[in-house]
Amino acid sequence: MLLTDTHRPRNRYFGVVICVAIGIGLGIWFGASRSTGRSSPLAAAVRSATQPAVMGARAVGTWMRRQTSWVVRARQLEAENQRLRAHVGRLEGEIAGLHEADAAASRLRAQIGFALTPLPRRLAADVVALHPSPYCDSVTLNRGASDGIRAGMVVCAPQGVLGRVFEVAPGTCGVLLLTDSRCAIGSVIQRADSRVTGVCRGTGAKSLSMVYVDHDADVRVGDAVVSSGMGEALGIFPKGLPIGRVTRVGDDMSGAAKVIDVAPAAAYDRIEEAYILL
Amino acid sequence: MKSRSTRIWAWIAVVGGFIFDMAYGHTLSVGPLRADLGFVCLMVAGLFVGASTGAVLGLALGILQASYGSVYAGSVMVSRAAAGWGVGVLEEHLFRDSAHVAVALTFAGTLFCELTFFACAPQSAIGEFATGSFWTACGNGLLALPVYLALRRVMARRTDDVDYSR
Repeated sequence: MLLTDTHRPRNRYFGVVICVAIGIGLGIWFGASRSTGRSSPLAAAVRSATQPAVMGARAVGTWMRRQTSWVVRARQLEAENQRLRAHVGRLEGEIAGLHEADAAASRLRAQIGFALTPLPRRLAADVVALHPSPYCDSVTLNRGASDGIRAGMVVCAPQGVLGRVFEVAPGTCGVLLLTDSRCAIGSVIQRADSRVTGVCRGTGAKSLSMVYVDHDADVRVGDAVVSSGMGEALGIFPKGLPIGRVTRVGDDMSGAAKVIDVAPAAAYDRIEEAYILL
Repeated sequence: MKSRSTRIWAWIAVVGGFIFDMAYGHTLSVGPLRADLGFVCLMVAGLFVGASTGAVLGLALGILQASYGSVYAGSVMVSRAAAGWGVGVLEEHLFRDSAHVAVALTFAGTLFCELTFFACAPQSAIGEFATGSFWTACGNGLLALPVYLALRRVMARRTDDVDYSR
């Protein structure tokens, strides 16, 4: 049904013209601030104002899920508990062996003059917002400049690399995930008889793509992929961080290089906490 | 004139929708469908407010969304403001008390918003962007129905600007 327009056209367009002008101005301001790795004061203020509400809403959901999930999963829990206990026993044995190997490797590296790289300190952070924008794959964490966070720092989940800090506000920071098409990380196949290097790139979907790999390189489905510690231009990711596992190996259209799909180790759609490497 | 409480409810809906979307937005996806609750609230609330208020609400939603990590801040703000204004303009011509109109407007509004965004910030992967926009429009259209039914209860009876006698 059509109704009579009671507004004058000039008034109708005036509002949108002003809003678009303000949007363009703020966009330039936001962009200029972000290029320096810091959030604009307005963005920081908006985040500070809305963060308690967002985290409160998340906390309510998490609490409700925890209260109700055991009812749904009661039957599975006992079997899962037994499986995890057996898994922990195996892992404890492996860790003891790895400590020995690590000590021996460190001793040998020191004897032949390699510099020992200290492990970076980790700062735990909670996720404020997961995938807040449809136009970039990112998360917002509740740590910021006041905690010593700077743009470019590496962020990990317990399972593996998440991405890199790309903007910092006083109390929060934005992290560009590895799955974003603007993100890339120098990577290497962990298998001792392969050690093929390449670059893992985000695809914009849930998987990564490992590129710059020769067509005759020894890569198999199931191989673990870790960060190589190389590629200054890609950002500094420490060596040996888990990235994911190879799910598909194929040739590109020219046949000169391999195209490798990698499933990320970290569950990017279920991140609840993260660690920032300081 | 729109009643003051209608505008207040519109603001509450948009800001509340945005906060819920930040907290649980990633769970509002089924397969390729992905809904943006803040934007859906903007479209539905825009049915009950005028063009200028719609534009201001859209700009506010754009500022909120851009503050949480969009790399295209200006394009996000402009596209939301334009979409809010567009639905506000249509509100003056359309019979708003219809769920079908709300769903159709949200679907079309999402596509218009994405088109405006693309015009401001062209994406290299046009195919992926178009496909993603279509699925987002579908997700938003589906979510518009419950949002409309909820908002109509609090907003429709507070709006008294429609002069049916003319």
